[in-house]
Amino acid sequence: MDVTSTQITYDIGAYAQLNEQLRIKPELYLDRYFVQQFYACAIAGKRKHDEAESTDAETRDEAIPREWQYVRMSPNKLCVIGLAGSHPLLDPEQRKHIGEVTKVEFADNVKNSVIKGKRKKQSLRLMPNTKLCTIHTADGKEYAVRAAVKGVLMEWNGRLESDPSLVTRCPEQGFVAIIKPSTDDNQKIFSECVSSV
Amino acid sequence: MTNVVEAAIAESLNSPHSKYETIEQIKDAAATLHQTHACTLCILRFLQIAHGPVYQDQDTQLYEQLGLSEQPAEPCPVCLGILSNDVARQIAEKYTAQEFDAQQVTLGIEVPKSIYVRHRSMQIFCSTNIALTSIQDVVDVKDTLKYMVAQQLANHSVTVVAECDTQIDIAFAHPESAPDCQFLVDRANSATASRVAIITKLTACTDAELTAHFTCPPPPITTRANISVSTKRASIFVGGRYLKLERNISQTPFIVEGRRVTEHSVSEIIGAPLQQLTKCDSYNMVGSGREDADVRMLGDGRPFYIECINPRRIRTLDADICEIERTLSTTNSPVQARRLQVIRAQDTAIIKEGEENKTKHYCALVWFAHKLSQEKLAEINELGKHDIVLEQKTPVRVLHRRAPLTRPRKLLALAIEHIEGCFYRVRIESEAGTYIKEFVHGDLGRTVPSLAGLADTPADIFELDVECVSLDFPPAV
Repeated sequence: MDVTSTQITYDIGAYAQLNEQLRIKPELYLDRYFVQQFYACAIAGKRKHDEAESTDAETRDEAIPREWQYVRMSPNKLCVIGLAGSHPLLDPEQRKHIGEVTKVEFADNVKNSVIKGKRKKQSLRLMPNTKLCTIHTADGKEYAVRAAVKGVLMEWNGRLESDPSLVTRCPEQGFVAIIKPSTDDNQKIFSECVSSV
Repeated sequence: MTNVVEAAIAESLNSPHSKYETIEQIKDAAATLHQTHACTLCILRFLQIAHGPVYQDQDTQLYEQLGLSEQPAEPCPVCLGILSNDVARQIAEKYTAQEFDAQQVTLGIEVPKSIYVRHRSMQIFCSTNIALTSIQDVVDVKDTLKYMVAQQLANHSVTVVAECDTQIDIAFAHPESAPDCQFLVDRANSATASRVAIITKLTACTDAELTAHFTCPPPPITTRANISVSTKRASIFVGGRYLKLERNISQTPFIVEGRRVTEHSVSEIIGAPLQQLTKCDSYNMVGSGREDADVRMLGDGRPFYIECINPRRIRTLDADICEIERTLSTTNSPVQARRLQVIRAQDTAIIKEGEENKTKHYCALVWFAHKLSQEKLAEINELGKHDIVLEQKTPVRVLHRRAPLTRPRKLLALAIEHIEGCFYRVRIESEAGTYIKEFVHGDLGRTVPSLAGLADTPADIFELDVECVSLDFPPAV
């Protein structure tokens, strides 16, 4: 195939600024496709029990690192849910205490959900705090990933079942689920989220 | 008697079907019919006088000639006022006002349902009257109106035929006599009973039954039937290939929440002049596939056709259509046309077939997070010389309106060339229905393989152009 297309020319200079931003932070290319906000996941049952030892409520809140999830919304309002960069599992220092990811266990109602056809009528309904899956680590810790938005399940990422470390190795491809919000109003979609961490 | 009436009656007497032998018999029959307050034309119909100039004669003269007393003031209870020169003239005028350049038309007439009941009532009246017992094969009321309208249209050089592309639909409504049909149907509201049902019930109804519920001859009315006229013409199809030389133009108007997302659309840029030319009610564009609003369509363009609905002008269009193509080109319009021409309705099927079967050629500006090594570049180019089969999940950006499936799609050729820095030129030839943007960035790993995956570094697509749509349509002008 002849690569040199003589008619089409590109003005690379027009992309100079964008190129510079991406050179520093390549993940920014996702900003061209998604609006990103963050959701703090409520702590999973097992660890809540362990950490209940601390009596001082304030120090407890400060000491415990928040489990941040990203909520990436496409222009058609669909939201992709995954682990944000500030999640403990994505911090190499913390991972030394937590352990590497060994398994991603999706909730039964997620695995059994039916998503068919254009209208996706029978899909699973979700509330922001509905648990989508539990991430297990080598040290026996568990982390829950929740829906973060109110809506209906469009897709859950089966790759995480066969390749669990994908969820931390490449959080964008290791997304947990794609959700269709029950409203088109951005404020309502992100009602449980914050715009920056 | 005037010659016209004389001639008509003489012809009728001479016709083998006529049951009358003398003019006196006809005059008696006319007088008896006159008692029913039927209009002249209905009297002529029941006298079985064939269509001819006598039907256009002014009513007053005919009454005198047939020796009848003054004509009734109220509308005819048999035809409900439908048969009148005024009505025929109105219909012709409503048609010509639309300025269709048709030389032939077909007429479709819908009469009020009560006419059938009243006609039957007249038949019974005739059978019980000595002067009228020989009446059979009455001249049909619809045929009579068609004859009268045809005479009017002839003044505008339009002929009425049985079948053609232009149809005038004439519908009459007569609310006053609507209850006439009530005794035939069980439903409370006879307006909702179907025409066919009423006719069937009427055929099954005996004379005795009918006279029990309905007067013979039919009862008088005070209002004339209302008329509505609409003309429909077969669509005309204009086919061609369109080029989109600038970005942010959608194929058809793109409106979200009442606001236009793109200022222009291909269908409007080519359709608007066509609409002006054919004076059609509306138009509809169908392309052989489509590209995103931010993607250009270059090369020889993409095949499409535009259907012009209810066109007023369809004759001698060729030169003007060429003119539209030329103007778009000389004014450097962002959307241009090639091979623009009138096509037949059956030629449009190929457009949709091509959408599914034909391959497309693309050229893209691609960015990678890291510059690719020479080896990697060579590796990808080598791979690109053979077919690459992609498994594409429905892209996130269309997942809200398309079924969640995984579609296998083939890339027939892939070639990548370094431009500068992290930017590369990528050329692709792919099977119809391949999502090119998703092949480049991988769509969060949901398109496999992807260019990002093959290069083992995040990738994104900044510009995309379609260079060729390999469907040969329409024929070169």
